[in-house]
Amino acid sequence: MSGKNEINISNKMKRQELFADIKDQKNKERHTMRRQRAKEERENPELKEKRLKENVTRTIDNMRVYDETIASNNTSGGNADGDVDGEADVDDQNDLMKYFNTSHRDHPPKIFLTTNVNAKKAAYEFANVLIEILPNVQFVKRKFGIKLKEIADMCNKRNFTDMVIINEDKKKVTGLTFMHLPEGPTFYFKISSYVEVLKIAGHGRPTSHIPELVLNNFQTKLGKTVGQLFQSIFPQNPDFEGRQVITLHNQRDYIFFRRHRYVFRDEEKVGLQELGPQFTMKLKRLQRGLREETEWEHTPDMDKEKKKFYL
Amino acid sequence: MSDEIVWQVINQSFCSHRIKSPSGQTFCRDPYNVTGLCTRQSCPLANSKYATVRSDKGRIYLYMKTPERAHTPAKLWERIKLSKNYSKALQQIDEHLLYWSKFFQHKCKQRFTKLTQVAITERRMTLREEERHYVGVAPKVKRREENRERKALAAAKIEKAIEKELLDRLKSGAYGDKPLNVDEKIWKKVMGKLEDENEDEELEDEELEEESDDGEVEYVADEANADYVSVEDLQKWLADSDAEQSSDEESESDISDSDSDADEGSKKRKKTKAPKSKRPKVEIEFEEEREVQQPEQEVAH
Amino acid sequence: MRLLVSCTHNGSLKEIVCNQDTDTSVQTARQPFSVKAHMVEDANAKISQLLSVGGSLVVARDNGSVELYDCTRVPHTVDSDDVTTDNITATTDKEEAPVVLKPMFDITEFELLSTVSDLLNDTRLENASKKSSMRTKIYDTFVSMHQLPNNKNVLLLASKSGLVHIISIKKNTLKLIKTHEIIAPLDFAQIYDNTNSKSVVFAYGGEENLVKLVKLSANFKELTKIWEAKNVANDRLDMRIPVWPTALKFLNPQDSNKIESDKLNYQFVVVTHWSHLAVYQTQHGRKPLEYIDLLLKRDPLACLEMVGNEKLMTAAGNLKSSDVNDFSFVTTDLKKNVMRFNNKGRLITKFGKDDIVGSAFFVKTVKGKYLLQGGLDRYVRVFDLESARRIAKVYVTGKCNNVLMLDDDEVEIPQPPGKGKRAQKKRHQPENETEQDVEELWGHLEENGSRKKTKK
Repeated sequence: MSGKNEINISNKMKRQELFADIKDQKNKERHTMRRQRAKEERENPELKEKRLKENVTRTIDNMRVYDETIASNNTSGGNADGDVDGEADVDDQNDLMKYFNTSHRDHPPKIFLTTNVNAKKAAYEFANVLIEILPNVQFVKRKFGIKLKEIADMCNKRNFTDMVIINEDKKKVTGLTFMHLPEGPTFYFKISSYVEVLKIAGHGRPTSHIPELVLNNFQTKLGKTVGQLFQSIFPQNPDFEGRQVITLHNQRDYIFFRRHRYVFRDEEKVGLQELGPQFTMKLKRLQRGLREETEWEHTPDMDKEKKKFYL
Repeated sequence: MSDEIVWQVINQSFCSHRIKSPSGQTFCRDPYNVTGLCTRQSCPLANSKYATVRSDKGRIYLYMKTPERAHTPAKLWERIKLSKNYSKALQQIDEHLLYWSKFFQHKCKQRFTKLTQVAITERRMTLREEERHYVGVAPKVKRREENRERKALAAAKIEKAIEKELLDRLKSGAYGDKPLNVDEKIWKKVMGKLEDENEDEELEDEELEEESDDGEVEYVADEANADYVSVEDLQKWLADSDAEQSSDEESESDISDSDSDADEGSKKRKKTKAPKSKRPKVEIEFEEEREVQQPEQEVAH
Repeated sequence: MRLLVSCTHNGSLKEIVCNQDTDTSVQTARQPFSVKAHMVEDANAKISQLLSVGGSLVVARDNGSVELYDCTRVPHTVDSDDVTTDNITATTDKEEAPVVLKPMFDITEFELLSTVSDLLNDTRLENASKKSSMRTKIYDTFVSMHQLPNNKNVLLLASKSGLVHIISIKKNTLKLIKTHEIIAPLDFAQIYDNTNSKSVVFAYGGEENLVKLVKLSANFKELTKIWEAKNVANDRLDMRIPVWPTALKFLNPQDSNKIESDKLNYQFVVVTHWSHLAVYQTQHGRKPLEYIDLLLKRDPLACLEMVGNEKLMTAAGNLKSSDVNDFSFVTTDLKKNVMRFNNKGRLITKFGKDDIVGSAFFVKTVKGKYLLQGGLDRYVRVFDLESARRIAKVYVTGKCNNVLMLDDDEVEIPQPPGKGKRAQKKRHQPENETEQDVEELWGHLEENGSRKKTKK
């Protein structure tokens, strides 16, 4: 708009020339400014730090809607006063410990893996993948006519700690249900963008070592509950010499599953090689017990607000 | 009106109950029709003497109409409740249709059998546990979720986050005193740095870190775990990793630190694209090396 | 208002002091003045029932103990760095010099006076949990605690395992008088307190346990069953309709002329786990007068609260009206809905429609004015009963299974002196600006208009 007002030349050639000149000039100015800034910053690194600190890009992630369930240890003068805050931390632990007694190592995870009734090939293929990833897992083919509660009872008798059900629909794996035994909770995740190992360019072959686990970005109360679930499913004592790492990275409520092998090249650089598979999970439902009362359920109208995240 | 005239009308001009299938067969939608077909015999409108079987609120009844009641449409149909016992119900049909045509006797029994079967299936279906929880997803919502996932993935910069986390673990000493997953030289460097920068604050730092990222897991090496690897293995492994390292270094010198473009240093952006594409290849080579050596290690265990 | 909230994760009781329009989920909204946890224990000792008896509080915990607390109000001492001051400055004016504004309010201190323990029995429920269609393991808990209508110092406690305890409060001590056993499992035990009589009548029921009325003799020694409901007829497929009453509330007895004196005269409303609303009249018979499907797909219902003004409600939540054709009630399902229906099963309103995310464990109407709600989403909410408007919403860090409203007085917020003027000024300035703007705008518009005209 402003450009149009300034230059009122009807000859197109002339006008374009003039525009090009102006643009060129601006570019030059910008470049000299940058060069100078770089020079100054080279002499004085503090300036750069200061600039980087001030110039933070506004992303959806850092403009996130305030959520009080995020443990607020960095907000100063926020909502909750000191003593309440400290108490909240204790609260958190209590609450989660009740679900997952992950603290004692004499109870290693033991997982019962099955599919939905009438599952197709895709589900079994995915089960194979999960068997590779999950530790101490037993796959059982689903039989028709046995109710979920009966399966859970059976698992309880055999000391399984978790039950995982693969949900297949129209020959595609669409969901995963995690049930913590004996008393829940139950998580239902939507599975999307599954990429099998062979499709990943430059994938490596995994070894049988127990991988490390990286859980990124699980912040809210709900997020931490989900984090606890994964923590309880994967064993606590990884074999470090395997240099394998499983990552569950939460970004905007999407949980990305990745598996890598790493190598420390030097003290600042890490090399990563993807082992696969990749898939994305999205929490759809969290229920108390084995599918009893709903604790949280995703509804489409929760997505109306772009900057509100629940994990 | 005589039956014949009714049938003439229905058959030749129009009947609102009739549907034609593409294959040419004609069906009847009249609820009283005993066979469901549009024929002279089974048309409930064109037959003044007619019998059928219907279910009402879970019970099955035998319906009959006779020409004697044709003048009172409200009382046209006489219905008889059939017994819940299948064979008894068949007997009932036999009794009531004793002097009727064989067609009605047979078709009513047939229909009764079908209806009982339907009821049984329905019962079985309600008893079956509904394990799945069906939720409709609008195409708009589906598309939105896909798009958001794609954007979230772009924003996540997962590899960077993993690298950062791993380095944090390395530097915070989460891998123990003698880490098995780090080359000795690098570890020494890290150790040196640790000592330089924060000699005494190391412990505090760890604590801080734990506080700052609550949702994250910190793994501290088990002592049992350390025992698990025998000294021989360790030596062997160290030798292996040395070899790897050296090969790595070679390759690095070949392509002039192209692998560091994952690092945050923006200066490296200028690099041509060619080495970038080479980068995974390099890693594959070294992985294959490892693969080959893997069995040996396991034998040693 | 002052709320007592029981949190399940650590068995604590939180006292919340807040005003109307409190909302902790929005940073800029009004925050509660104080949220303080009392009686912290562990998750196994969560508080399932709360009852305020005179000046003291009776608390029933899931570890099988009942405790009597003495409540004393202590003026709240505000620390210098307390947030309550921050909040007020934040809500009023941030640029204001840090004038320390201390809203005056009391907090309650609790002192344990007496305890009775070992009142629950998990083993009685083993059979029930095997049979249960829903739960894998049922833990014993107190399902109800009522004061007897004719003697306020005697409490009637019922546990899920079918133990009925009668406990007296005398001189600040609790004493177990008698324990009766009834058929387990129980989902509710509702006492009849619409009319005064010597003997005590209460109703109970649960999973595969039809509604029964029992009478407790005046000396508490005997418990006799006086009435039992009958299941409704089989459905269309000739299948038995499963029995699971989850909550019951009494109405006043029928008062028409047609009463047969040899029959009992009680009226009550039941909701079931299979989403039925049942209205029973003992005069009518053992089967319900009405049996209505409230929700599709037989979604489970959990709570039942009658709606009526303060005069129409009894202490136990029964409705003092004998008209079965004109009442409305609030019920919850296991997903996230808190709904108000009328007696015909028509949905009138939903409470907290887009707000509540977890199953509401607990709803209660207070004074015919408020609806307290707490549940799995870790918030306690207070709604206006008629308009379904949310009055307060407070985060309590744990799941909440019982709420008690002690009073609904507002805490006075002292106004800083001289603040009013400033605000006025501020308000005035933008007005000036806008006037100028408007003039400019008009000028522009006129110019444009004339130009256009000339062009034409």
